[in-house]
Amino acid sequence: MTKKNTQERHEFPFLFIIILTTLLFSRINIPVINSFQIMPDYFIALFVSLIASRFMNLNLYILFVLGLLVDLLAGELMGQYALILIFIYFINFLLSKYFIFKTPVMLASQHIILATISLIILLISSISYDLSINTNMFIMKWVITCLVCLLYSKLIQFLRNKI
Amino acid sequence: MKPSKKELRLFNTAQSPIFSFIILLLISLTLMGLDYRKGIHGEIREKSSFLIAPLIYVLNLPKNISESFKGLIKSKSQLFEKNQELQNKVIDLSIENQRLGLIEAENKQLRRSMEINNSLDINFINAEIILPKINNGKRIILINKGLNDGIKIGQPVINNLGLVGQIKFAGGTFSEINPITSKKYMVPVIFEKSTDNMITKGNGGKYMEVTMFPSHREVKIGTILMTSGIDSWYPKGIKVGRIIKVTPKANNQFNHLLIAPFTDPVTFSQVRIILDKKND
Repeated sequence: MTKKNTQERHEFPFLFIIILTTLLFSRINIPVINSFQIMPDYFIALFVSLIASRFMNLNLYILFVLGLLVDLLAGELMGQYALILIFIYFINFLLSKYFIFKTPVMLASQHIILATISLIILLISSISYDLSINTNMFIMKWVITCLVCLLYSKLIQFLRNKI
Repeated sequence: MKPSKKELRLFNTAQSPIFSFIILLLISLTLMGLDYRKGIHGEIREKSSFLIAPLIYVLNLPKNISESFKGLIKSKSQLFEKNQELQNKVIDLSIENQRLGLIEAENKQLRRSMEINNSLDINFINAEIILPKINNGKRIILINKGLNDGIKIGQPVINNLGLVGQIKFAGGTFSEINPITSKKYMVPVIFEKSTDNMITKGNGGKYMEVTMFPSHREVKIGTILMTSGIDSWYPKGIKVGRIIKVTPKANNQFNHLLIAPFTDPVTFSQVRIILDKKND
């Protein structure tokens, strides 16, 4: 128990730095990507990786508060990211109840499933007045977000090994 | 704690979070509904803008350092050249100003004789567009003036080319502009050389549009649109855009007008915010 608490305490500064870096990334334009519509959703990528890897054993309430913080700093509607994060947590709970994710391919598919569901919730709850969805743009955004998510996952794994 | 017989626990031994999940889900949905109806997000952001201010400072730091460094290494001859260029510009502008002064006096006299109110004089403040230009995948325009400089939500933003947008969020030291091409932007306009009133709205891309313009009214490609001023929010006569495409609607009773705005946030760095109008 003491070991677990010490590890959580060590992981906290990393969580803080990762969230700050993500906030910075979310406001930097990627030169290769011309359209704003296909920019990856860094926060979804980050939290999918954090929840799937059970970083710091984040529970529903902490995720809800972090979601509200993301809404405040980078969101467009209060409660939107809070909703997405608690959904990611709950779906991850259900997935890990019925499946075991052991191999790297399995873990990658777990990340992709969670990122896909999150992006769909974001699309549904968005307040843009789009009646039609640009499918190509959405698929591009999904692909890039999934790639960023896998990168975050590798980073978290690396940080964990360091701790 | 042992699981009950009815509870199915396969690979996850943690307790089911279903109750907490439903409670938090309801709170999130309530918050979203409240925000959509009452706009609480803007109010909270306004009060907590100090949290974002350091981030904006960090993002603009490289640009500010490079600019101050450039200023230091500018040679005397370069400064002399620039000074000469600006002096020439001042002379040109003063000549133009004399001509405009005459036109303005004539205009005032005509307006008085025709009993038309004059509301063209405006108070404004200059501001510079700063980084970031993107926020979580959405394009934004930030300026370096905020509540402390007298900026308020809703004030129109212009530059030398025409209308840029409207203030949609004001923090202490910075503000966010809603560009005219945004889907949440509408402005009443008239044609430059006729009295056809209409409302244009952004299409979310690079253009603006008038979705239902009566087909019996004449319209030409290239016609310039200006603010009509009937909303008493925008002064009359600010250039908005030029019609680039006229498409008949399926029922042939209306046309769809596509308008290219004169301003593009990528091509300028200075803007003016209209604080209020001085009526004569």
